[in-house]
Amino acid sequence: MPDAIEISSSVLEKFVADVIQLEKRYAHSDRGAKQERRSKVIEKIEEVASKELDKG
Amino acid sequence: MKLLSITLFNFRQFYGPQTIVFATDPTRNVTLFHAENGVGKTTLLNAILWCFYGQRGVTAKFNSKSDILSYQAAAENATLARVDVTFEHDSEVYTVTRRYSLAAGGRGDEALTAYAVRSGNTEPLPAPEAFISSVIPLEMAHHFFFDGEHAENFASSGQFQQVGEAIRNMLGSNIADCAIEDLRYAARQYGEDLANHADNDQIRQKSVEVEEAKQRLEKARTLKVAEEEKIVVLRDQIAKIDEQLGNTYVAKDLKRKRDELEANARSVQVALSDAERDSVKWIGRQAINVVASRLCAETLHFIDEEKLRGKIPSPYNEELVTTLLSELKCVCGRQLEPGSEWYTNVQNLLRKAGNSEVQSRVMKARGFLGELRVKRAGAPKELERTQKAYAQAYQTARRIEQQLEEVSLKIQDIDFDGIDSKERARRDLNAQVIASAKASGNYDTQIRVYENVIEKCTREQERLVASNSKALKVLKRKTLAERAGALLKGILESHEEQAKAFIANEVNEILNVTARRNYRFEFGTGFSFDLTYSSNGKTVPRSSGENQLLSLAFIAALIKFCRSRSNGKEDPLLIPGVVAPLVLDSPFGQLDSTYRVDTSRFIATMAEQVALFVSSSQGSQDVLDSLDSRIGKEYVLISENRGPRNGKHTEQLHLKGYTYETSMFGCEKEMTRIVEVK
Repeated sequence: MPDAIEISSSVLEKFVADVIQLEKRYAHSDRGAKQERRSKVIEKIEEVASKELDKG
Repeated sequence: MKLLSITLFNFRQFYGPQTIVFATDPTRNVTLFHAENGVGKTTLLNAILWCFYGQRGVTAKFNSKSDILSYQAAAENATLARVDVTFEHDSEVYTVTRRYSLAAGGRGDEALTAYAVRSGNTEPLPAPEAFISSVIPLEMAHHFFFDGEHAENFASSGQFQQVGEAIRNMLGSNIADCAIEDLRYAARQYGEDLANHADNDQIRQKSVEVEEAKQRLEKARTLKVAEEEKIVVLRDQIAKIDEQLGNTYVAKDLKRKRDELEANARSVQVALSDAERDSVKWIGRQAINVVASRLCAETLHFIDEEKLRGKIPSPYNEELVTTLLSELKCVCGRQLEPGSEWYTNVQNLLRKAGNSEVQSRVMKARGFLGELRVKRAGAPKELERTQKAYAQAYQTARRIEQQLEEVSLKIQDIDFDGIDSKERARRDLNAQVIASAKASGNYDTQIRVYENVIEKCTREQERLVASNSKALKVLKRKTLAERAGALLKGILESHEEQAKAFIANEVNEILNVTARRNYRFEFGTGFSFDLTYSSNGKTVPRSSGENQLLSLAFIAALIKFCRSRSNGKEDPLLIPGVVAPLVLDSPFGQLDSTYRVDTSRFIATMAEQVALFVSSSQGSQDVLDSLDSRIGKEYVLISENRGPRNGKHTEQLHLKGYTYETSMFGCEKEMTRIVEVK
């Protein structure tokens, strides 16, 4: 994978941990919550990207 | 988690309240249920799953999932059914209850409650579903609570997806798997944004290329795995055919022998005919010699005697006598007067006089008779030779005939057409293996090509978006989702490899002590697996019994793996492992009696607590004897029917000195009664 877009390992690891936490919150939900869960993941991406990636 | 008791109330055929207390003694950890088909084994197993997880938890064999209330209870206008499961978990006792109430209009409502039982008091738990999931997640529960057939086929040939799912479930990777899936979804969304909405044609074009290459790469990877799994399945099928053909090699050998014997029989028949013809020829040739033997001897004797007497040849020559008579002068010089005594005497000599023709004939006759005598002398030997040849041919023909009969008896029931069709099938399968190997190689090439295309296009895409702030933002988000997904995937793959190694090792250890031959279990690409002979590495053609044995070994290995992950060292990505009871329905179905006994001993050690359902055909005395020292609780499920017996057989079980009639008729209620064997 090219490295032109730099994402530090700490940012990446923190982001992964956040996504896992988010997934765990939805673990006991029924299948209907899938779309909601995915929206939350995209929200999390937006949040991390605007905070950590858009600056540079 | 250890099951303490379960109470069923109007649950399906279990009318009224009925309670089972499970064996909890570590040394007598088996709770044994005797139940014939249709009495309620599957229902009882599903009662636990239904209590914990509701309808989404029950197995496929639990028909009419929403039909919870006992028919007998419903007939008595009851509307409530319930299952209470009491268990111990982390040194605490809990009771989980699921209630079913039949509302107006036939709609059923379910409600779950969970309580901690502390010092005799019950304390309700606020989130019962989450609590149950923390004790034993549904995905893992299905690998502790097995229907019979599921356990039989669990590790059958080609069940790679099922095995992979089981390993992932026991690894507790479901949450991480969901995260990977969601991140992939997000990356795809951002990719589509770039491909559809970027305000630069080149960016759009490059984004389309990247997305397309990624889709193709994914497809090639999936197809490559599918081809490799197909090869494993095909090899299994070839091994099965080889085993069947292995038995037919004897048949083919017999067939070859029969063909040879038939060819020999034909040659011997020719030899026999030749010998018969030689005999006939001998008769034609020698009969006269043999028959004329005495006449020949006497004639020769006569000729020889006459010769000795001087009669043959005659002392008087006919020409000499005729000259004497014509010259009227005897050889002594005396005149021979015609009519005189001397003339008459000489004339009489003509009767005895010989001539050259007679001489010649006598010589010929002598020669012929001599020849006849020589031929006659050789005739017996010639006859002996002919008869010997005939006898030999006859004996050989008889021997071949007997051998043919023996071979024919041996092969009369062999289906040679079937053998031929198997060999054709084997050739076809081999051709498919070659085709799949070739296809897999092609996908490998495609994968490398797409990876290069993606790398190249991504660099190009990044270069293009560097000067386009809007597109750059989208690409950064896409890249974040992709890299997070790749990171998670890498970690999970590493965990999966460790899990596979652990499980393969466990399965091999179990097979070492249970299987009749030395087998080796190993994983291949993805979750494909193979069982081979340790001695030669050839694939084992698995019988249904071996599939069941392998499945049980696999389940035991999974349970041990899950337990190994319950040691408190939590991995943030994975759901922790659990310790739970193993519930197996009819686990011996496909095993022969020796395997059943060995396996029943082994099953008792598969988990800390084991519940077994056996029918009378599976729970034979030798199985019960081998389990006896491990049985802590024992129950019989008795079918009570209101209707008459109508000539149905009486089914009885004899346990610990008591006789249990497992199907009763003319009863007050229609139900299954759980009776403890004491």
